[in-house]
Amino acid sequence: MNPWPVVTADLRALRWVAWLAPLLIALAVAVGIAISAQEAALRQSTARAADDFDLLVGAPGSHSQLVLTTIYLQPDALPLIDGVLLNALASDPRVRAAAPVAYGDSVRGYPVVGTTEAFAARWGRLAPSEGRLFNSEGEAVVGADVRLSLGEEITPSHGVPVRHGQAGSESADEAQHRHEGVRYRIVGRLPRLGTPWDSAILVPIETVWETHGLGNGHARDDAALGPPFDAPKVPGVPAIVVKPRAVADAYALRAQYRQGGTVAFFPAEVLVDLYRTLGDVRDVLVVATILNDVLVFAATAMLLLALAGLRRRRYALLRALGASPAYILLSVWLGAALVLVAGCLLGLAFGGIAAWLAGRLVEQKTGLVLAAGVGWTEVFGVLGLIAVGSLVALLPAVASFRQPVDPSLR
Amino acid sequence: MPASAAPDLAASRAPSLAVADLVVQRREGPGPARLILDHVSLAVAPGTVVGIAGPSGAGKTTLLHVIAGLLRPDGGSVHWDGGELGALSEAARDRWRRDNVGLVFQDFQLLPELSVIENILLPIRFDHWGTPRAKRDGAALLAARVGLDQRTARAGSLSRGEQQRLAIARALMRRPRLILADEPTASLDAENGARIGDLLIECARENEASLLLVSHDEALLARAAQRYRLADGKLLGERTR
Repeated sequence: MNPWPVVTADLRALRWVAWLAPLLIALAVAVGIAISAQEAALRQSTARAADDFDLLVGAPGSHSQLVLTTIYLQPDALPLIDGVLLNALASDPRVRAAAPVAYGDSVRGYPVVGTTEAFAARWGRLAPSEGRLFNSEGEAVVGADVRLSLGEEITPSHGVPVRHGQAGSESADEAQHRHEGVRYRIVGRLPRLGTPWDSAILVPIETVWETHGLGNGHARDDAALGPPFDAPKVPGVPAIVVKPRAVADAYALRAQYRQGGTVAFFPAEVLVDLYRTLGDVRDVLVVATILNDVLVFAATAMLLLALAGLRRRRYALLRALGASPAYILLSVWLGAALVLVAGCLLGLAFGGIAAWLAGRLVEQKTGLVLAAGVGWTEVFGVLGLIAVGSLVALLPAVASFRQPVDPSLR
Repeated sequence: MPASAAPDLAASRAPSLAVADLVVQRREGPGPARLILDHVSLAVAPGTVVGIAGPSGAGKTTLLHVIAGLLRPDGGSVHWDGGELGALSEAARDRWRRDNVGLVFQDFQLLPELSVIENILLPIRFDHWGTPRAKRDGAALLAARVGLDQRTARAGSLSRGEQQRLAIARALMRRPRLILADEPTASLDAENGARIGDLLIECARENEASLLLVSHDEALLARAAQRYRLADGKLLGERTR
């Protein structure tokens, strides 16, 4: 048997409803797909961004704020910790490497981050894609997304909010708060990390201290960049990134620097809390989306059921012409299932597009690259919906194939 | 197409139809059941054209539906080629109807969203996935035979006369041995009605099929070999030409 002519006729008879019904289902399904894909991408992306920040040491305060400011470069005025800790950590046998991270200045909307050459290269993991790393004061290396050329000279501005996604030109605010007389020459560009650091301008910590009239942290003006910082008074820093030698060392350092006027924690601790919250929000949204899907499926099923009722004369005619009840069942089921399945597949595509668009938006706002896409979780979710849709499609089919022929034909 | 009396094809190999003592009651509401067919008996020799007249509500359509196996009677029997329809299962009755009966409805009952050819081929789809070339050619021939040249046109776009011709072509697609036509000219003007009548009778003759015409159209009924009148559920006065 070939039910397609009847299915075609039924779908043609639906006219615009044949397009609108799958579209409504698609929108309902897409919301769930987008939420699921976005949340997964956000987890992966935030975790990846924190990869090189094993242990953070900062002044007592909000751990989340320290993470947001240090790893995701969401600027905020953080209290400083004593710069002497830099030397203490650098000489600690449990520490493989330690680097200060200081911020507060910007150039054309890009944040200026003071650190060491070693951390700019992410402890040797990165090599510049263009040029070289800074090796003297007044030099800068830029992230992959910074639209400044190598060799260009720039002047930082103080205390002006950075503009993720809209950087590239100097604002009036920046013009008013320039550190006159301070210049950085761009000597290199880092490869893309997919993190907010792609939009950062990395400079020696010494230059940041000097820019703010704090000296350069060294006893001599011509000392090499980086630790040890042997000045009688080492300037303070908002955060120190520590790379411990071993897991046990990490926990020991964390315990030690939780006392004495500092906080120490693994960024993963904050992220786990964040993921838990994200997960809770996602769970609520997913439940709401499922309810939404159920409502749309139910409404569509009712519509198809009503249409099957209106078409009982047509199905009676097919019986009169010799079609078996199975033929009617298959025709009506296929027609209804096509509408529901088309909606689900369209929803998968729409959801993927929505997740991608939302990822672009997040990237513009935060610099975090979200590789949001449709994964197996979403595909299996939609396959589940298709299975449900196929069962729902049986409703109008079962309602149609047992209709008595004689009264329906009159 | 000239209007001519239909010849009796009793000598053909086509099977015969015998309706015996049919009773159909309809219960509407709490009152007693209404008698729709009251002990109707009818014998149709193979290849015969039978005309049945009668007022609206007399039970003409019910009689056709019982003969087609679409409605189980409350009493009596329908025999086709010696076998009783009532003894068949629903599935067997579907197959019997598919293989033997061509139905023409007063209001055409086409699928307006399908093309002329797709409507004609519809009964073939019930038991074939693909369409054999011979069937497709046969459908094209039938369309031409009933004067429908716009084979790809949607049925819904055709005139009423064209739609009725299309309905006849569909009924003939499986070369039925019994054609049941319910008021086939009721919605047509006299000229178109005559053409449809010619077509039905001619096609039935070509297929050696028995033709049962239920109609108010005296001109059409006048061309039947056997004529009856159904009134108050009773089949009256056979008039054989």
